[in-house]
Amino acid sequence: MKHIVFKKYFSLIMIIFLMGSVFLVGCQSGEDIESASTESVKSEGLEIITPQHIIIGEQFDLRGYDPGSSMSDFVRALIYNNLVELNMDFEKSPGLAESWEMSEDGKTWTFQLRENVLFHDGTPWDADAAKINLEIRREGTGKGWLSAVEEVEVVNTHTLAIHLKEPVYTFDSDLTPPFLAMVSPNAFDKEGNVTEAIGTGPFKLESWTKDSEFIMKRNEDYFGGTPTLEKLTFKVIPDAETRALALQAGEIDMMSGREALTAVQRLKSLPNMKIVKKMGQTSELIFFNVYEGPFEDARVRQAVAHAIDFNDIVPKLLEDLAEAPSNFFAEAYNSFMNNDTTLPQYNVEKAKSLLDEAGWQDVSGDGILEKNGQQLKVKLTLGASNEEDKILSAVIQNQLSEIGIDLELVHLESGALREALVEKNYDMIMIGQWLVPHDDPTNHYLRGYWHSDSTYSIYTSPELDASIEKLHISLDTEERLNLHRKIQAEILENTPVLVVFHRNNVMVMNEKVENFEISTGTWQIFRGLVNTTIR
Amino acid sequence: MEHKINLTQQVKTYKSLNIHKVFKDKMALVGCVVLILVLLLTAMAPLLTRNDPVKVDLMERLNPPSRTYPMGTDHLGRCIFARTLYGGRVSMTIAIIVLIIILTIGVSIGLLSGYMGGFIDNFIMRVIDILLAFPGLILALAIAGILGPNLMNTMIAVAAVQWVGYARIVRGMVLSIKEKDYVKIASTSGTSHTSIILRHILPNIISPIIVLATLDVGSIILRIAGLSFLGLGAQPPTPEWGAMINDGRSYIQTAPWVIFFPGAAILLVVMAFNLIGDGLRDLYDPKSV
Repeated sequence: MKHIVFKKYFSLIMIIFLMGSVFLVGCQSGEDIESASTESVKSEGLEIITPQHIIIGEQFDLRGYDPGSSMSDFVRALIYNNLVELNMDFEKSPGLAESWEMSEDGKTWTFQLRENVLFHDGTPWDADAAKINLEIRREGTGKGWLSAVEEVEVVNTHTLAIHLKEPVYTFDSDLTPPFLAMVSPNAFDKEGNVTEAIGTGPFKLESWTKDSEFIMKRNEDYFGGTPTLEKLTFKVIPDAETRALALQAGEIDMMSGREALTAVQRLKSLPNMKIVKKMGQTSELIFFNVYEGPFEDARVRQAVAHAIDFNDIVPKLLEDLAEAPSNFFAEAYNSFMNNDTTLPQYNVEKAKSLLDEAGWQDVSGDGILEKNGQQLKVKLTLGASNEEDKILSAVIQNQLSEIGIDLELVHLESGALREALVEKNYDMIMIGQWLVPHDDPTNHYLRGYWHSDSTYSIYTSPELDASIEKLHISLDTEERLNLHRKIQAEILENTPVLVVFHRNNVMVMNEKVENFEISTGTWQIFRGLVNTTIR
Repeated sequence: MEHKINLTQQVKTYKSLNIHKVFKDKMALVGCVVLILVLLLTAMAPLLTRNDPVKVDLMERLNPPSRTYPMGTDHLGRCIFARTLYGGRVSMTIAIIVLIIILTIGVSIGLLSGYMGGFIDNFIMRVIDILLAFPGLILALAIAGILGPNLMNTMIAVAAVQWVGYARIVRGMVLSIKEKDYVKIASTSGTSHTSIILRHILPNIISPIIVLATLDVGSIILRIAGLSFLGLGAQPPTPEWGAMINDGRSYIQTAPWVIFFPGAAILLVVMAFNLIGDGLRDLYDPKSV
């Protein structure tokens, strides 16, 4: 018996000792980091020329060489160029085409290609290369985007004419997404797969170790001017917290704030870190199921819209990663937006009276409204791995309980979330506003959420369908703008959607990284590295 | 004859030692005190704090411990003290319910299998072998994942995995007791199967089962907290220790109190149950007498 008691005390002491040693080890390594960083400060004092080499912690691996399919969305713009590109402010600008024009009938687009441009393997860039690329994309991954293309014609070495089956006013914008980037004809195999990463972009892919790192060297002959940075190393670190710790320890110089909410909030307070941010093109939305359940009634939808104070909760909870909603789209689409419309403002009294009007009353006195014996219980479906949506949804749940709505949160993985969206298996669903890949939101209505032919349609009406179809064939700038505004006004009037926040593009970096300009476009985010220097 | 006298003596010493020994085993006593303290605290939660465990207050986010918030606030400004106390109710109630389910299923199947023998025994044992061959947590994860995340399904998932061990142990004990003289006599004198099981076998296996169950409460609490941590258990805004740790995980560097207190609560309760279980085992272990 005594022996056992002794053993117990002994093991207890051992446990305490072990826990103590963990703490000690933790402190020890902290000191190590500190002393290492002071050493590097000292060596900088000796004015050795800093090698222009930057290490970036990236969430996603390179994944493949094909900009059209496999390659990570975010690094394509470093290796490849498009015919037409979006600049840092999300405006169309010359890429591999210097200039372009649309014919009177909108069916022929003529591109003047940039001269004296070489692919990384030395192949010259010309109209033939462009034709090969477009032909392959038409059949493959660019199918949806190039569906209107009838024929690609090589007029001369640096002039390309694209004939369309029907007029497409936004065809130049349709060429900007990075998955329509131009690849060296030598990189394609017989089936049209890309076997090597050979583009015209500011950086060349040097090596790639799967799931570990990929390295890029600068392209000395880049037509936009040689980048200052000689070498980029992307370390693949999927977990945001681990990335943040690596940045803190000086193992990496820079990381994206994407899906790293708490990491960014913590890093911001450190003295040698800086944050570069800009409002991006995408927004986060909540859609209502307008076809069944309590949200069939527009007044219930409006009540929810008035009951959530996005202007208060978004800046408080998401800080640098998002901006409170201002309009139907993010600022990047200002020139298409209807500035007469406003989003519903926070007003609990109005929300309550709207619900009352719709026949929902708290008969039983339990704080939850009822109508015809049915309680007002609804589900909000959201992505399980989306930290921002998760934290906001908890507050939304709380704010809706104040007007007597019992909200249940359903967390789904991204595949299941998309399935729920398509099958309308939700009362409310919180999801990113994809389908706005470039500077013209026209496709957002037709292929996105607002036309009855779309897979994802959220709310449709015959008038809305007519306006959207008219917008698609219209070639008159003035008329197009009016249609954009009319469509947005009609959607907002019926409240099938709540704009939750506009997402910021955020990059966190060590202070020694200078002149990094951040883009509005999500996919152009690393383009800013072209002018970046290291002090 | 001599043997029988010996037995009765042993039983006597057993009983007379019980109370005395409980107090002698200091670690078990510590376990008891901690557990009673925690139970009292959670039971009196509404008296101890006026803060609502699910009330969101964005002005009070990630506050360190203070007078109004004795354990600080989490990322939504909810009082961690209140959440830990109310979370204890959820965690422990669920653990007890799961335990009752497990015991009912495990003991009855074990009894059936051991007593009936033959084909039924074989069949049940093979099913149990298959279940044991799966890693328990992964099976629980799969079940909770298929049924969908909520507390009820978590309980089902944990119970579905955990009953197997009991069935096996009970069967083993039944097999040995079945061969005892008094069971054979009862059987020959025409006692029904039900009363043999209930009167002669069950009382003889119940004490080791209680020991085992006490030791297991800890692991059940841990498993439920684990599933909640992975988002498969308690759904927001229900306070639950595992889910609270998951919520606070990202703030471990800036606001360690968010995960410290629920973590400490789990540690204390699981340790208390294990210490009590250990003590009970020593108590019933014939070798230590």
